[in-house]
Amino acid sequence: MGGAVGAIQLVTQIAVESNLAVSTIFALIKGVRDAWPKKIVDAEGNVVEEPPLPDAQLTAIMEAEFSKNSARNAELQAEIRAGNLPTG
Amino acid sequence: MKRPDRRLVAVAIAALLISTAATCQQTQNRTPEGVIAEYGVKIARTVGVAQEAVGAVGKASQVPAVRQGALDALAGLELVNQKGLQLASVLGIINQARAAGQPVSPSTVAQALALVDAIDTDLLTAVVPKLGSPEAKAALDAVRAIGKLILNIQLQLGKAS
Repeated sequence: MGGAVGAIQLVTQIAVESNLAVSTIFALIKGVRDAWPKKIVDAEGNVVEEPPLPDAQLTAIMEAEFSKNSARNAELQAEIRAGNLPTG
Repeated sequence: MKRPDRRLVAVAIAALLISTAATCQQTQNRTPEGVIAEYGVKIARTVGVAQEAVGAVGKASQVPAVRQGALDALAGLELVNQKGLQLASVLGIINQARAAGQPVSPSTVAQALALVDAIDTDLLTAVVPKLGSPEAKAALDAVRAIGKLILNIQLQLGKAS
């Protein structure tokens, strides 16, 4: 709670000193945060930057997903057919 | 009026420029195959969700007609999967041409768009009509979500009327 109050006071002071609106300061901060490359952590705990995916990689992911779908589709059909229906 | 601290103003302007530059990078004009690939991944994953929903309907129902409807809907979604794989193959050809600096044949791009339209047709004719039972509502919603993604492609590429 103390940290949040301190942050608000700091932003307010920056707004006053720079003659910018508080909302503008927050918008700028948010803009920088959103624009910063998102970081993910790999299995070893190393932080890895997440770059935008190129078209070729998207295409490869698309192919993998549809292939997975096709295999799963066959499984689901088999599971439905194997289910017991009431007799009589 | 108090004069603003120039250092603070400089920091604020720098932050504004960074965020603007990043936004421009994200919204740069995408190629048609880029638009299709981006949505293609979402479509593939949504098909996966729809399949699970349809499968759940078929496995849970004791009504033969509902089970058959689920089987038929899965068969229709498999048509979508196969066309999706064809589409990925065509996009791969386009990607290779661009990577090699070669011109992309308009007919190849048209082939990709035709496959997108064909997937839409398969959904409308081979999947949706098979999900008419009340138990299949959730599955039908998932299938309709695929249709919306296809519409987004068509709108972005200026095809939808």
